[in-house]
Amino acid sequence: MSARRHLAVAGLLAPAVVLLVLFFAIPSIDLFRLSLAHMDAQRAIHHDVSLVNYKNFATNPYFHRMVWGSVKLTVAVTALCLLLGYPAAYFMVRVRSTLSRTILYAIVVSPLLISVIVRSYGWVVLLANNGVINGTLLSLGLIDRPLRMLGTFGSVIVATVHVLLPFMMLPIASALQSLDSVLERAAQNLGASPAQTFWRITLPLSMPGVVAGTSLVIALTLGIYITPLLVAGPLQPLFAIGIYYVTLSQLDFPLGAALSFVLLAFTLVVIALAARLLKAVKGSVA
Amino acid sequence: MDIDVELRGVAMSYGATPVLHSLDLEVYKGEFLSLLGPSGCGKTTTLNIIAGFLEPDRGTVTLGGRVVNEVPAYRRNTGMVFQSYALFPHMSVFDNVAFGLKVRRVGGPDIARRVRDALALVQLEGLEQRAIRQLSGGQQQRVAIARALAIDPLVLLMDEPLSNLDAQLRRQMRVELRRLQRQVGITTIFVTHDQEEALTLSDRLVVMNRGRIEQAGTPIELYRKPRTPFVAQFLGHPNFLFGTVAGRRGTEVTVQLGAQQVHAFYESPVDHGAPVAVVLRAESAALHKTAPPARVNTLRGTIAYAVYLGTSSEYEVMLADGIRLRVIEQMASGLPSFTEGEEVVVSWAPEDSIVLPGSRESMPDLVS
Repeated sequence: MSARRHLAVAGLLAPAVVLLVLFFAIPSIDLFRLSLAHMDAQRAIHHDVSLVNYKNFATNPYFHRMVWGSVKLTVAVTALCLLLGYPAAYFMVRVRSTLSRTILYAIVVSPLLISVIVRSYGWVVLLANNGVINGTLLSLGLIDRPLRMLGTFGSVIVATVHVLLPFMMLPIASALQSLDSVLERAAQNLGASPAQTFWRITLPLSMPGVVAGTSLVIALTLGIYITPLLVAGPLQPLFAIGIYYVTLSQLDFPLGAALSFVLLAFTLVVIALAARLLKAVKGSVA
Repeated sequence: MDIDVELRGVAMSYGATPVLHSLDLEVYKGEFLSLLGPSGCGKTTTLNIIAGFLEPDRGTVTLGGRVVNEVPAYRRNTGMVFQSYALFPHMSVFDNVAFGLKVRRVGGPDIARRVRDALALVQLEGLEQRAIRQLSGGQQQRVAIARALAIDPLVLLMDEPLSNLDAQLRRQMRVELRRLQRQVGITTIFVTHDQEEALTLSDRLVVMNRGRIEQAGTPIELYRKPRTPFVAQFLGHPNFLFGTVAGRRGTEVTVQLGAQQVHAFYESPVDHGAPVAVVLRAESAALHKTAPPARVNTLRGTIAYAVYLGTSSEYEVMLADGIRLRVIEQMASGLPSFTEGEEVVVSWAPEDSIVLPGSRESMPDLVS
């Protein structure tokens, strides 16, 4: 019985494990080895083992500016996604009519269904100097000269929030959906006002969704590059754009690999800190 | 007597479906009142209207002498015990019971004392720091009751609180619930579809059907003198013998059942020749091998089948004209007196049966 069961478990896990080993673990190990190599001035790659790329990252202020840019973007995007996403998810789950709920879900998921290029160019069309927003404001006489929106850090934040909002909303909606509404009624019956019910019951019990959504948004914002690239160009100081530039313009593959690992480690640390912070918040409201 | 809860003309529909038709109900201070009825009869809706979770379309709800139609649920000071208990899974036993006190901003030492008292009432001392998922079903039930009592509510509302427990624990909790309610003296409204629960727990019970009150009264009144076939059927195991009124003397009527006549009493007058049902409970009838000498109703038949239940036996008796009667025999000895195929005489005292007006066709609620 037990042996057969183990066999069944192994059989069910095997395809995913094989896929991950072949296409994730082995390339990652390979990439890590590449990050220990280095490129000389003649652009020749030397496969000796050294930490020269990591030292380069640690000492070069250009990279520090890049990290700082990504941190700022991540804080802004995560905070906005939470502030916009939680109320929207709450409303979406509580809507009575099934049709309205289906339409709301479709709207929320829509950014994920459109190619990243099309979506980002949509923002270009809206935000450009001769774009829709400036055109409207000019024709209404509200401004004399076009506002510079495209290429600013603000435009990167807006476009990134647009892409990543579903990743915040869907886990929160799912957590709220599974919350038994009888608990909220019980709280009110015991004298809790709607606000007290929200802070003491609804929010703490939907925290798993908040943690999941926040982790996803943090990880995705730290690594985002196509959207900021299209909205704000290759000079935006962002970690992933830096990696893109080093790898595809300078063709310094070892340095690109090293930066990728720094980003990976950094992302894991930030997610761990965020999860701990949210747990502390949950403890204090419960 | 003081009235704690009063409903006047309360009506409610979900969309086009009416669930309550102009309900009038009063619950006296300290009384244990059960709302009894099948699912969909409106009993839980009534409870939710009292708690303030539902707003009636018409009618007034009065709690402690104050009309509360416009008062939100969280200001009504009712203590609800939910069918699923609805304990907060992210809090300890202590925090669950303390919840209602904390949101009322009661001081820390007072909270500790009142939580301790509430837990002592339900005999859960020492479990304050347990997580909810570490408790058994019976313990969760007790926490739910303690949590509702801790806020010292005007009325305790219980929505089928025992239905998630196994049979043995349910019987045990029934006794304990009654003891607790007497001890605290709190006005209690208890919703159930279980007649045994309602009979054993209640000072007064209200039988509901299709959004209306069929009858309200003490358990003995409702059991002995049901006013409608529905109530008769919901309490005990009645037989309905359909016939016509052949004679009357005082409140005693003679009913013609095919070729035979039986005597019974009525609560509401019936006319000569009118169609009636004689309601005879399976547990009120007796079986004999030969006709008994006393002045009682007798009907002859044969045992169609017998079911042995240990302390009792249940028989189905086929009467001469094809009518089937259910009879329950209590057996102190544990030995059944009759076997299938045996010829028997069914007898009962006229005062143990009652007459309700109406023919079989006029009683659509009857299952049998």
